[in-house]
Amino acid sequence: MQTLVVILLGVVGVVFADHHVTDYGECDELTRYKVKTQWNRAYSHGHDREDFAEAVWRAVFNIVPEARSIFKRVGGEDTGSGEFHAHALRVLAGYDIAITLLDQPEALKAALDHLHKQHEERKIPDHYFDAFRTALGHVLPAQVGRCFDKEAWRACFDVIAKGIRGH
Amino acid sequence: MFRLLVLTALVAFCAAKIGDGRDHCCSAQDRHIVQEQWNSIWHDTESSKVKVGFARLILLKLVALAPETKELFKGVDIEHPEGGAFSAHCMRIVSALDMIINMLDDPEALEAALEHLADQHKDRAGIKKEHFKKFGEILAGGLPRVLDDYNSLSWKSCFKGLFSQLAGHLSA
Repeated sequence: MQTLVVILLGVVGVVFADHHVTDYGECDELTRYKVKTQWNRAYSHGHDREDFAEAVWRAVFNIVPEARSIFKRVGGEDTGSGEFHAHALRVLAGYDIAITLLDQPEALKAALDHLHKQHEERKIPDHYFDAFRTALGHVLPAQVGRCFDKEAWRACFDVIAKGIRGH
Repeated sequence: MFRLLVLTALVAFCAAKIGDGRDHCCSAQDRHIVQEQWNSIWHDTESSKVKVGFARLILLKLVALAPETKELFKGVDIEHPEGGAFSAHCMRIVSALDMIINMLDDPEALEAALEHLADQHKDRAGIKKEHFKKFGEILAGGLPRVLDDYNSLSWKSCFKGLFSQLAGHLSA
């Protein structure tokens, strides 16, 4: 009986480990480096960064126009306003933190927990996260050119989105 | 002699204007210099270690010089500065600095961002204006040690305004 329990626990353990691999497997160490490097280039500086941020948010609102209402308090009606720029850059800064920490698992976990808390009370539907991912998928290639690795981004974005959503 | 007078008058004018965060002392040229010098260190992919490490040194120095601030970082586990929670916090601080420096050219957005950050600090009891001043001093001492090019006048003129605005919602 005891052996059976041990074996069973072992099997469960393997299944869980497997599950973990299929969830995060694609965003492995090398992929993380690639995403980090490409992000650095895309994120850029100064006005370029503001343009990048605005482009991402315009794409998001194109995909899910109703999401605009969440951003009323930060000037969401006008993506060109200073107020909304500040917000758009704040969000990208949060994303920057997560990507930059992709190679420091412990700190990444803490950063994602923090972002999770900030997002929890806002009740953001899952498909808004998908829209954000799609938006990035459109704008990033314009920033990094043909070197943009869609699969790598998708895999690592999912790791980050999962952390922020909490599921 | 006349030039000296003009200079003195200018300095006085600057001193009077400091506080609104975008006075003419932090000129377009100053902002440009600050952005260029700051951005020069973060190009490397390994920058996460550099960023976290840099902020960690600054915050630990702050805590060493103003021990009462240690309590303020309890929530981010300052007891274990190498740990995940504190590292993530360091990253947040560098990221906020990075954000406002890269916004220097857009006064409207900068204003909104600084207001938001000032609010976030207002909610934390125990943070005082003098802590920001100290933080600014430590930063000004640390930056020239990591930046090959560091124009202290430009940095000083821009950061005075930035930090006074960051601390703008604090009562003490």
